[in-house]
Amino acid sequence: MLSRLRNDYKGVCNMDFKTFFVRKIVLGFFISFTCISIAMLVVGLMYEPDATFGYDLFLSPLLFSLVAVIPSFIHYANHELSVKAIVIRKVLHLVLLEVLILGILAYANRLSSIQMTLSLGLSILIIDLTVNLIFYMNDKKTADDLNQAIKALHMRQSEHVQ
Amino acid sequence: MQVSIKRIDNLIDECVTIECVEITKDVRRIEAYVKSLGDVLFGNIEDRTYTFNLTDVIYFEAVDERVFAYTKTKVFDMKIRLYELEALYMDKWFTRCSKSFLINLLALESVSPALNGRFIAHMRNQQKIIISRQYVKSLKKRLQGGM
Repeated sequence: MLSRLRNDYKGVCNMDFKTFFVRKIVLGFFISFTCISIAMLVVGLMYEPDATFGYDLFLSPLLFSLVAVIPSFIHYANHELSVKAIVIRKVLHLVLLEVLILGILAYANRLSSIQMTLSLGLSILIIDLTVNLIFYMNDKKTADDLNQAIKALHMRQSEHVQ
Repeated sequence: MQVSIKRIDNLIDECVTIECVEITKDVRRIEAYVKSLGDVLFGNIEDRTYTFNLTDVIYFEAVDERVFAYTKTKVFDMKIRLYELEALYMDKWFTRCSKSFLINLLALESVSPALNGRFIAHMRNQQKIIISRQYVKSLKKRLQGGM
């Protein structure tokens, strides 16, 4: 059992860049790729069902998935980060994501007006905040469960002492 | 190295004797391991060795190659690895909550969410310790009485 614990300990300690790259970046890339492809299919079928495209269309989900995962490198750390450090990295991640997406769309002449740029930027912000809020609410529920368990443990222990 | 075990009648006379040419780091580690088998622990503050009770320990922290035991008022330097402490005391309400912390569940007051699926453990001595995402499930299981 000691060797298992030692290996377990080493496994967690050596959360190196390779592990981070495979778990976060590669996985994130494939998730983004799948979601963007599905979104393109659904939106295309809804608004332009008769449109035809060349093979170059396959590049769009690849390119946008790549753009979406690049800012995730900012979350890499080989040590435990403080809450403040995570907040800073999350803000930087959002700023970088906004700059990259809006920058690429501007470069491709897809942003026709300031209003469109602002509404797109706001949409990215709202999606990011919503995702973080959902994760926070889920964590809050887990924390509540843990606190109930802590309370029950302390009750059991005090009964045991008496 | 030869190992011999001799049975005796009295529990009070139980002891471990190490015969060695030189007191090496390994010998010190064996000594620390044997000493830590009971509920009384041995730890150093500067150059002096003190004894303290396991129940007084709020958490153990590994910093580089060293492990420190934190009680309400003192911090002891221990010559033992964190995973060895975990193996020894996992049945005594100690559980690992991150790569470098082993906390006493009886000294855990509450938990609050941090970010990225991690949590903050609020300990009896007002110390806040990060609970890594990897250990949340095992912590929950331990709190509910599992191993």
